[in-house]
Amino acid sequence: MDINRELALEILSEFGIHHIEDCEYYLIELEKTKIYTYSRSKLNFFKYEKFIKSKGIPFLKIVKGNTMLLPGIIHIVQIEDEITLTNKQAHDFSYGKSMEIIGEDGIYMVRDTYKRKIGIAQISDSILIPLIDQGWYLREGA
Amino acid sequence: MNRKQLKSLQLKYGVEASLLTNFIDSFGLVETEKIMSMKPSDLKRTVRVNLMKVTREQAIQRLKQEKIIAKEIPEPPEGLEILKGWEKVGSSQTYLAGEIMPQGLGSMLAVHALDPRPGDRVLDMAAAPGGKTCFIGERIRNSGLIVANDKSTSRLSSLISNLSRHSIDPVIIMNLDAGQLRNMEFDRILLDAPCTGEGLVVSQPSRRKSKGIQNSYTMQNVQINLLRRALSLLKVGGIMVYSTCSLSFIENEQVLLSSLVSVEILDTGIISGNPGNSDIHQSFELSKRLLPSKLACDGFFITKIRRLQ
Repeated sequence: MDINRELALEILSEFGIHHIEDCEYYLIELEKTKIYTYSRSKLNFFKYEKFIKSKGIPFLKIVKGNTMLLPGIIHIVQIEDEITLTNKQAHDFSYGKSMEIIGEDGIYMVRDTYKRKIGIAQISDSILIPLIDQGWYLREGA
Repeated sequence: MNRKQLKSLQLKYGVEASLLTNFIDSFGLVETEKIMSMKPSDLKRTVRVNLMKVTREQAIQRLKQEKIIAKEIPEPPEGLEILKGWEKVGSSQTYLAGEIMPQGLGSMLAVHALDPRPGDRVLDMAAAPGGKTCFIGERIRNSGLIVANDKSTSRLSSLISNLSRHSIDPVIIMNLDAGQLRNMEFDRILLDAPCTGEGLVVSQPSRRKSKGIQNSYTMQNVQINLLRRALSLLKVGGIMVYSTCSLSFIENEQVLLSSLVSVEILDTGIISGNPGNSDIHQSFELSKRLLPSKLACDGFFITKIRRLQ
């Protein structure tokens, strides 16, 4: 059992996410921040641990008890329900905007017309609310 | 050239005196004037296509949908020139999806020369903001290991976001003075060394006045130390690329000269560009110097070496 994967899944369940890809998971602890990362390769590297800022791609960050999804989650999350947005909708979604949409309430993988995964969203009362989108880093930094 | 003529050119192009003299001594008056008379808009704007996600043709089509017109460039095989819509590139869905990365020709060609292969252990010694690191990851097809180091903590955020967008995951990101790296061994190393950046005199005209030849000598010490450290981390027979965005012999050939006894200079595999200065050492004819006046790109220097002992 990958303990980091289990710990991450426990936290991700708060966002309605219950399945992530089977790969290598790491936990990086930096002062008051915990970062969960993934890689499809085993990153066995034991030198200079205290200077290591990330192993693979970060997908979950906890700062002083506040949990936030990072765009890396889009690459590893497994969600059955999907929704495809038009170009205009995809553009707005990538800027973190909510929008009216027809669909059942639930958690969705969001794709654009090229079938690219562009984020994860929740539909609630016909409003699509981004949980995380591919444009997040541009707005928020790392 | 007498002092009066030099002063006149200095005023005409707004260049620091020692920088101008060094350019003229290195490339001649005609080439120097060509470079100094260029405007930022004279440079080609280029992006690299992430071939793990799309082909160049697909990228061109997807960009076209977003009203961005691009065409293929001769090298590297991932490169595109943006002909129209450059201002939209950074907010395009194609960019956000990690299918393209704005990147200068020199940066692309440095990784192209390094030629990392799947399974390689690669060190990127000064990795932020991560454009070259992503390219390395794409070339190793996410199979192997990249140690991406950068001394600057503040620049790591852009490195992480670029890796995330491009889905490059066999990466360990380190925040260390590269001179402190020890007891590791790599198949390939990219040392895109810190430099005065005087190859950027066209795209960033403020550099014409901010840097003089004394800055090049100061950087040379840093570069020599980093080069020696890099070679100690490279396995015997391993490949390294030394590159800078400086055109100066002081920051390039003269830096490499200090380590020639333990390395072999190799052909970069790059078609475009001028050879290095073979007057300093004959083997530098295999190096490449990209002049803005010849290639409409930022100035860049690239040398590929193999460690012998």
